[in-house]
Amino acid sequence: MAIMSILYAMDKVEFLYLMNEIGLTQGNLSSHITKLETAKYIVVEKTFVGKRPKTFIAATEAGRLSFKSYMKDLNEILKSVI
Amino acid sequence: MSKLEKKLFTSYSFKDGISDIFWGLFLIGLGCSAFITNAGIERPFSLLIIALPVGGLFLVFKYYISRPRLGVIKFSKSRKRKRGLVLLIAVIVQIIVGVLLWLVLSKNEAMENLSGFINPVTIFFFIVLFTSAIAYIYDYNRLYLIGLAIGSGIPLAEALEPTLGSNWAGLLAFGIYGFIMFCFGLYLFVKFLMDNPLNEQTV
Repeated sequence: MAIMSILYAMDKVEFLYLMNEIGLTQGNLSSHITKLETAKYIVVEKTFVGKRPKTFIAATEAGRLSFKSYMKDLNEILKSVI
Repeated sequence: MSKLEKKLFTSYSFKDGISDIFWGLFLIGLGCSAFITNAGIERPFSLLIIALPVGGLFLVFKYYISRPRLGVIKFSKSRKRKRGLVLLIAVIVQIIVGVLLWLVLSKNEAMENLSGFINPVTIFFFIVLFTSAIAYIYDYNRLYLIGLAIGSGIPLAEALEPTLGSNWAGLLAFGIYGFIMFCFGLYLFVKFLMDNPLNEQTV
């Protein structure tokens, strides 16, 4: 949820940024990223900047639509409760 | 989501304190510009001597210290549009200021008519309006205070000049704000370095 929130608000982010922002360890975040990638909600791009590897993550269109739908359902539930 | 995007943007862009250090040094430099002018370097070149190295330092810190610790983000299209708008406003203001400066330096007759409108109060409003517009568009709240500091520094320096002389009036009017801003930026920067150690990332 936290990962998708950030990716929904941004175009593309580096793995390092996600790790710092959410506060997960590398291994923990990697496993969540793998699950989201398997579900085709995100796309992972590995590049090099100079000699340093960089991993960028972006939400797919399907991921954005799914997240938006989830947020809409959540809002409706909250409205009905309140 | 727009609130979240704004929160993420301000956190990414300003939590390292480098912008505050930059503005603090710039304000201190502005306060010292009278010393540089008295040493023989006329305005606006005395301001360039301050702005260029401070601006260079800002870029170096952002690229070599901040970015390796934070990672890279590609912002959304709406944020890129806002950035474009800010740049456009800055360019327009630069052109206006440049033309006015040229008229002053060339002792143009048109300046005789304009000189009645250019005084510390109008300069204050101009600076505050300009920086407030940038602060609002760019979600950089501290820029409101910076704008007030720069805008109020000019009439304050004018008011202090008969008592303290131009050198010390300028230093007091701008230097105090600049020093406070610099110290605050330094505190944020040290906290940022402690909270964000260098980390090689792998997936």
